[in-house]
Order: sequence, then structure tokens, then C-alpha cells
Amino acid sequence: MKLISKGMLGVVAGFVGMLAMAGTAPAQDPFSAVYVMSDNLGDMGFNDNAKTGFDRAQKDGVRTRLLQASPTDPQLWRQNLEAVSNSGEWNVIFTGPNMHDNLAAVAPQHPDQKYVFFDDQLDLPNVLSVKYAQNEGSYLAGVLAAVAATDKASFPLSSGEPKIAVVAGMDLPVIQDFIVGFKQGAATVVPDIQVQVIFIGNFNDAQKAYDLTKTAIENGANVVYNVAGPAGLGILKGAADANKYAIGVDSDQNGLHPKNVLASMLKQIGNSIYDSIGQVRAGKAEFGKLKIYGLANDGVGLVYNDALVPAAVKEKVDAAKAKVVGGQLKVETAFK
Amino acid sequence: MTAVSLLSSVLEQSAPIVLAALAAMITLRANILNVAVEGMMLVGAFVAIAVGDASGSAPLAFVAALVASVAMSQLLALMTLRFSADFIVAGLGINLLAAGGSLFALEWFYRSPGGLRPVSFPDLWHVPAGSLSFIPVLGPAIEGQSIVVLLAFLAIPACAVFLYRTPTGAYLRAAGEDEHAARSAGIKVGQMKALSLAISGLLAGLAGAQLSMDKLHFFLPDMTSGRGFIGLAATLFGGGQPWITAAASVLFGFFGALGDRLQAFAIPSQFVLMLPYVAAIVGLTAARWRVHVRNRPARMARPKET
Repeated sequence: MKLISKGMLGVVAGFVGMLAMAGTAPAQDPFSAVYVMSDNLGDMGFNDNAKTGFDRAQKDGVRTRLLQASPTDPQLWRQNLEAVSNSGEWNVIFTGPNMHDNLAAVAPQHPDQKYVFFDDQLDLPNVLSVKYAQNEGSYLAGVLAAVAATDKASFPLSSGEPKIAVVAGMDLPVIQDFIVGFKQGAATVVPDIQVQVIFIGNFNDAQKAYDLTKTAIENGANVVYNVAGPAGLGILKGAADANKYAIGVDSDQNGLHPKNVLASMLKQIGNSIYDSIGQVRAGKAEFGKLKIYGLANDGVGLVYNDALVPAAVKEKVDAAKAKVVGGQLKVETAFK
Repeated sequence: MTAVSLLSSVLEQSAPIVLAALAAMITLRANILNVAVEGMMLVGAFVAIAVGDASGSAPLAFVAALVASVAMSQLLALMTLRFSADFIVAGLGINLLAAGGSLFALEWFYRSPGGLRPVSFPDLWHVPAGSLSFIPVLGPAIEGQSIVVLLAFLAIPACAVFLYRTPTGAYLRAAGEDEHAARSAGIKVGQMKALSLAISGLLAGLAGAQLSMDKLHFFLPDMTSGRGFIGLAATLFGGGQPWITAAASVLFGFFGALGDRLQAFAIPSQFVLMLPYVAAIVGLTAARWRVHVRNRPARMARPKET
């Protein structure tokens, strides 16, 4: 008797379940986007910036989900990517840095699944690659840094000597792209400016970043450009403790040390993600192609710390921006 | 001026490595290869920031970091000495627990797994500027260092005195040299090993507190970045002798600080970043060679040393 009743219950439950699914499926079918991460939120940089795009999309009624994973656990990144691909319940799957090989392995197995791959490039028919012209944004950062180092009247913490530095995470192509643009921008202001280029060797060792920043400043640097992801917090702290200037990166870091951080060079990752979700939703996204977000379409840009950067200097930097947008000036790139 | 800044940088970079190395050394003398220093450091670094953030008190944060780190060491002692787990396996387990646990706590309590950065954080005591300027070079280099850097260098003679000049230190070494002989002499071997782990936890906690509290005032996952293992390498280099171990740590710190300065001179960064690790490999090779020479058959008649 007991067995039968249990079986009956099961059948009824199943039936109710089917009814529920049939009843709600059409109504509860919003556009959905998931982001498979190779890192965690809370870096006040790249990842948090990406999240703003998903948050905006969510307000438009898109179902979003961010799958965080430890940066030291590559196995989990792959598992997450495979899990969401197999589930088939996401209209578009986003993934980003460090995921090139994983996506190259998984995407061909799911030809009907749409992927957006940002901050990197993969030529597959179902993948839309999104890259940022970090060289263009860094160009503006270079202009600002060179002006700040030499214009002692407007920037009292500077020595007036044309010496600046960039402290970077690792010697990777995308990081070199930052450095190339930064150097070029600085050189347009002061042709023989000294730019120290220093690498930490990873993106976590904030103490090392701090020491390197201190060393760069001891060598005369007036402005230090942070290109080091999470460890960059150590760069900003180092510049603040030495009472020199820094330029932040990836998200608005001006508030972290308001007396020392001149500006932040943003890759507007959030904007580009919001934009891509909209395009995929409207069916306009060109899968299989590469889309570049640069100065011209607000994919990168400089956010000033208004208390430190006077209007005249902003005008100078904006003039440099207009040249790049207008096409009179081509910013060098590390990708050739 | 550059000599002062280099020396000051060497002291600062060496301090966590010296502490990590002493932490590994003290257990090595009790015949435990302690791979968990890295994890204990990470726990210390995290608890220092978490407690400092919550309480606003630097001394409290500092003590909490030490307590947490010692607690981790006693967890390791419990697993290995009571439940007979392998030291290396359990030690690696501690490292995983520290890395995952700190991340979990960041997510659970702060909703920010990328790191914990309090808006304001109490400062540790630093040597006041100008207080030691009467000593040439060394004085200015010590000025501005945190109390932990001073403690790190005081810990070297303290460890030496403890190991060689106190009865407990002698028991601890005996427990490490020959467990059965020590036991038959009435030494409580398990207690000695647990004690060595506790001291190790204390030193690792100091190292962790130095990393997060001295200059940075924030915690990032993985911020220890292998310093615990560099310290372990320094211990093996030094063959468990406090002074040689400390010297090796300072050597690693020196190569780190030197590398920082070399990078500015257009030497390829890959080469410069390699320096501390090359130093570690060369050092370990030299240490093995010394042991090899010492143990040559002609000298076999002498009592065996470990």
C-alpha cells in the first residue's frame, strides 16, 4: 500500500510539475546572459566594472548570472563554462580573460550556443570577440602624466622633472598595449620624457607592487600609472604614501586616495557588455567577428579626479582625444 | 641616499621571509617539514585586516593575527600528531584551507571576494623618523620600519637562544633528532612537536601581519605570493641553523630589492624577476653540496649529524 501511494504521489507531483512548466514557460522566458569568470568580484577594477554592465541589463529585464571562480582554480573555470554550455538555458554566454583555450575547446561543441568573448579574440562562427583599445586610453593617460610631471604650478606634488613610470602586472601582449600607448602619449607632450617600465611578475603581490612603486618614485617618477589588476591597489597606496601622483585603471579608483590619484583609465567593460547584450538581443551582433571599443565609441576613457586636474589640463587631454577620434593621430599598438 | 634606500628596502622585503624561514626552521628542528607556513601567513594577514577593520585598534588586530595563525598551527598539530596525518599532506591541506577559507570569509561577510580594503585602518607602530639618524646608513634605513620588522630581526637571536641555551630548546631538538631516544629519556615528544608548531604559527602570524598591516592596509587573496615557500627554501638552505637560515632569507630579500632597482635600467624584467628564484636554486645546490662533502665516507666515523 505504502509503495503504491508513494508511486501515486510521484506521478501526481510529476503531472503538477509538467503543468507548472507548461503554464509558466512562455511568460517566464526573458533574455538571459551568464558570465563565466576566471576571477572574483570585489577587485574595484576589471571584474566590478564588468558587473555594472550586467546590472544595467538586469534592470532591463534580462536574467543575468555571474559565476565567480578563484583565480587560482582554472579547473573550475572550465567546469563552469561546460556546465552553462550544456544546460542550454542561456541565450548568450559571456566569458573573458584567461579563457581563450577553454572557450576554443568548448564553443565548437555547441554550435548553436552564442558566446561573447571580451578582452580577447577567438575566431569561431558562434563567438563575438570584444576588445578594448587600451592603447588609446593609455595614450590619454600618458598625455596627462607628462603634463602633471612637468607642470609644477598645477600639480604641486611633482618635481617638475619629466619623469614618469608605469608599474605593470606581467609582460603580456595586452599589458604591452597599455605601455605602448602610455609612452606615445607622454612623448607627444615632452619628447624626451623618461618612462620607467616595471613589472611585478604577477597580479596579486600587492606588497611587491608597493615596493616597486616606491622605488620608481625614488628614481624620480612624479606620476605612476597602474596596470596591475588587483595588485594595483598596492601601487596607488605606494604613490599616496610617497605623496606623488598615480593614475588608476579599469574602474574609477580616484576615490581610493583622493589627494594622489589624478584620474583612472577605464576600459568601459560594463558599457561594452551592456551594449553587446542589447545587440545580441536585437539580433544585430556579428558573431564570428571582432568588435573594438575605443575612444571613438566610449569603450575606453579617462575619468578625472576633478579636485586635482584643472580645467586647462583637461582641455589639453581632450584635444589629444579629439585628434585620435578624428583620425589625425594613430596610436601605436602592441598587437600587430 | 641610494644605499640607505636599498638597505631599507632589503630590511623591509626580508622581514616576512626571515619570519617565514624561522617558522619553518623551528619545526624542522623537531623533524617536521612545515609546508603550511604560507597558509598560516595568509590567515594572519587576513585576520589582521578583518579585526583591525572591525575594532579600529592596531594592537588588537596584531594580537588577533598571531592568535589566528597559532590556532591554524595547532589544527595542523591536531591532524598530524593526534590523528597521524602526514605532515606534508596536512600542511598542504592547511594552505588550501587558508586560501579557500579567506576567500569564503570575504564572500560571506564582506560580499567582496576580490579583497578587503577598509576605508581607514589603524597604523602599526613605526620607528619615528629622525630618531636614529646618529647611526650612519643603518640608522636612516631602520627609521620608518614597522615594529614587525624589528621583531623579525630580534626573532633570530631569540630562536638561537631558545634552541641552544634553554632546556626546552634542547628537548625540542632531541625530539627532532631521534624520537625514540628522546622518548626513552622522558621527553614528551608530541608536546615538543606541538610546541614547535605553535612557535611556527606565531612567527608566520607575524609575517602575515607585516604583509597586510605594515604599508598596504588591505588584504588580497593570495597576497603572500609564495613567501612562505621562499622561507622554507631559506630554511633548507640554512640546514636548520638560525643564523644561516636568516642570512639566506636576507639574501633572498636582497635579490628581491636589487631586482626592483635593476628593472628601471632596461634589464629585461623576466631576468630580474627570476633572480630570487635563481638565488634559491643556487643556494639549495650549495647547501646540498655542503652536506654531501660533510658526509663523505672518510668522515663516516664521526657521529652522524642531521
